[in-house]
Amino acid sequence: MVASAYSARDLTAQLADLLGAGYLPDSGQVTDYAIGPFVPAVAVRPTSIDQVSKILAWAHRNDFSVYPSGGRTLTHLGNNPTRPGIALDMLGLNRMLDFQPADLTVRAQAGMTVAQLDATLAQDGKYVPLAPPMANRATIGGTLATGISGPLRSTYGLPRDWLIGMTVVGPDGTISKSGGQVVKNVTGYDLNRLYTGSLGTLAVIVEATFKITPTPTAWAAVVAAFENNQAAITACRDLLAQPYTPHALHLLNPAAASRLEAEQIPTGYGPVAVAVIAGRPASTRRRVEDIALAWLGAASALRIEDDQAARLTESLADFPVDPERPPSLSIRLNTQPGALEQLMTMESHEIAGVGPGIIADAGFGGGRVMWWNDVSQDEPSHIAESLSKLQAAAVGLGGNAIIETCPPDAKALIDVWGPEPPAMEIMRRIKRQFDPMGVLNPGRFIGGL
Amino acid sequence: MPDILTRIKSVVGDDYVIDHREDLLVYEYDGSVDRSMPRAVVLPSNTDEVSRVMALAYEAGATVVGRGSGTGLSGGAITPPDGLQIAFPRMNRILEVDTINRTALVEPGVINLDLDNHVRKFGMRYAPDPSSQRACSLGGNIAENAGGPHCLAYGATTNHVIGMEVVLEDGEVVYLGGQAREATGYDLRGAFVGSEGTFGIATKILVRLLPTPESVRTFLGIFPDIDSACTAVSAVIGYGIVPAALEMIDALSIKAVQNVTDAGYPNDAGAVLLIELEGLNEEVEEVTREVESALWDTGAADVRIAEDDAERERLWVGRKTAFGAFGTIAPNYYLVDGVVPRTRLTHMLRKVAEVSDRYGITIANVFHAGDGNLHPCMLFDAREPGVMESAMAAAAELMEECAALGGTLSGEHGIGLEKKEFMPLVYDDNDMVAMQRVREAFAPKNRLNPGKIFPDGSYYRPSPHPASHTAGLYV
Repeated sequence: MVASAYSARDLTAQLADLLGAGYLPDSGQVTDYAIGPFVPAVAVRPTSIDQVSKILAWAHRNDFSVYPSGGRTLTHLGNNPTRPGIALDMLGLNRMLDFQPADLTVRAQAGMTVAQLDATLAQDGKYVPLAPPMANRATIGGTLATGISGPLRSTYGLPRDWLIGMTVVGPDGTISKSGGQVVKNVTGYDLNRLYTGSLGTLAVIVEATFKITPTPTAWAAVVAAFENNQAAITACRDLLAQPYTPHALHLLNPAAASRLEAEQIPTGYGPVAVAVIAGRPASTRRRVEDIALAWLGAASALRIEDDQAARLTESLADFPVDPERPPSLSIRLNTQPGALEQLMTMESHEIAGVGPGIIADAGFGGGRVMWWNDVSQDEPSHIAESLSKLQAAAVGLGGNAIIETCPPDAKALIDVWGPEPPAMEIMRRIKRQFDPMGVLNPGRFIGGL
Repeated sequence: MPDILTRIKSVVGDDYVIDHREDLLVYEYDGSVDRSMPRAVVLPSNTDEVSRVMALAYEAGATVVGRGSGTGLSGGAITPPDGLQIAFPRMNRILEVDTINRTALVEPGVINLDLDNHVRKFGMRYAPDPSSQRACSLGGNIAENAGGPHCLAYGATTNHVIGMEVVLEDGEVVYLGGQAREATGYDLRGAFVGSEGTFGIATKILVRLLPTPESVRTFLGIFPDIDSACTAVSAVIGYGIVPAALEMIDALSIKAVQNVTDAGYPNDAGAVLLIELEGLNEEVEEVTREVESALWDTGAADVRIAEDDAERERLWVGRKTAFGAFGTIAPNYYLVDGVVPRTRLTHMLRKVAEVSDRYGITIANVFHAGDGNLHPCMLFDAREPGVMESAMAAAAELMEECAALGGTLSGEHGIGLEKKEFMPLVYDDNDMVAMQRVREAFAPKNRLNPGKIFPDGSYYRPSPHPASHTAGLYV
């Protein structure tokens, strides 16, 4: 029987048969799992790996697609789905499995939120420096599947750098693992890295093991406004040339600075640079003094200490999806740190008559270009054309640009992942090897994978 | 149609194809115990030549194995008798150093330490530092996802590679990763690093550089026995300190090292810990007090701090030449690269001692204690009948124990030939099927370094070569 021949009621009955009725959210809630204009036929919330396996095997047999779902903070990421299917809500797999503070490792189920994970680790003064947007909702699995990183990425790297082991369920229900429980491991191919950032198109992540690190005991930040982009960029470069760069160094144009949920941000001067330090007390003091000194020429500068600095870092993490003031259009640019000038000049790029806010990660490279105005006043084709230009500009800088938030009718006209990379054919072969039937998240990833 | 070697000679030039038996002798082994003479060794000078050679080999159905400097310890460069080896001594240029983006673009034949020395002129460093760094190449480092003492703080090779130009088995040239740290699509770069030469051959490598630290401090913690040194490792980690490096050297290894060079290790110690802190002056000062108390609290007989660069260098030379020094104790060696959770080190080293006694084989330990990566090295004379078999059996027991403790087979040397039959200790069929799927996507004909990594029951133990090249073994 093919997918389209099922009614939602048949499906619910079959899945209830498979798992028991308790594992299906109420039928009215299926719209909660919408991906843009796409609404899955039914949603299911398993509580064990075995159930995830059963669901996938069932979907595989019945030619249904499966759309894994975590904290739903980045559901807008990716192209629109291309096949009918069921939403696989992973929030039911949320248990801590093994926390070994003395080994500096932790293993947890993928549906646990990053904030829950951090809360457990904090009891022993440890954490995993992932800091995804909305950590109180974002799950471990979703963070890994999207590969999304936080504002401290220039110091701590990306989620893939902290992941040491995984258990996944393949599109036919097969359970497999990669990596292990130890912090150093070259045994077999590194599938951890392949699955991370694959947007759930190869397998469903059900467990993850991380190496962990001691929580910083001191936080501080310097926030400074500059006359113009050139002055701000020079100020950032001065810090980056020092033997120790800040743990985070971000540059916001005035439009972005005025939207950041943080009272300490000076607005009305010019571009704003934010340098965050997180470490031990004496070295944090020394660093923050060095920065304040280096930035004496700023139009306005402010030193922020301890909890306030930690909260400012959280605001930076949440910025791209802040539910209080979500952008109507957001594009993430991955470019080298040397492209900071070009990134900041993208503010001349108007959509519906308004220029964007820009936040650049001066240390790591790249950043986000965002609009908060009602961009749907503009023609979808014009929006798509503008976004294509930004994508092409990023590629021209040796990087790429991913459209994160976008009105669905404009999204339908463009590959949100940008032009296909040179190794696209290998990616297609990998998808065919892992998921020849197109069960997992079909159509959503680059090149329609 | 002309013979394949004739056609390859027309691509790279007659001088750069080695096919005489006596010239091939040095290419038949690497740092592992295996050997096999390739049919020929090709020395290309650029990507285009690599691509054309690979295309010719593909057309002829020939197996191709890449070779860096031959320091590998798992047989990764061992080539079957009918196979071609491609080596990179001519592709050894540092093409670009970018101080703004903190990257370097290099060819695969660049020697690890040469890159680090070069970029230090610009106030930067290349962090991965395998003990073979004076000899090993970046191409080989990529294939094996090489580690080194400083990987404790900075991560293995994969954490430092941004992108690569790669030649696939059919000669196609592709770019994996990007110029920026994050590329779109699947992380093919991440999958490629550590694939032991089975996915393709890297011809250009874009690596990430780090700023050199303001302050470096090196400690020598001297302990009466291995147990107390292991406890000290746990204590340091337990303080919430992740040093730049944390290495252990046991009594036998101290003796071997002091036989060949005065590294400053005390002859009567049961074990020493070599600990390095890096950071801002204030940071190093803050952590120093904690390291000292962790060492004293766990029974250190003495704690010394290197007073200057020369003394620090001497301590590290001792560590990095330890395995070469084992030649002064026995002519042959065989070592295991297992990893255990850090809290199981004491248990695991007791197991090593017990296995050593039971098999009557001398085992020395010099290893990356901070990340639980052991290097028990069996020292023996292979001319004694049955001793090679005993060493193999002892190694098998040690790998089994690592797996049973929640650890793994290899932390940094790779699986290659000699560990492949042990893969089922840590991965089941489903796990390995998933891995093979990725290989199928990169190299559908499996022409690159076949017969490595995965168990197929085919591995036989060839006669080992003597460890006469005392400067040639590093871990």
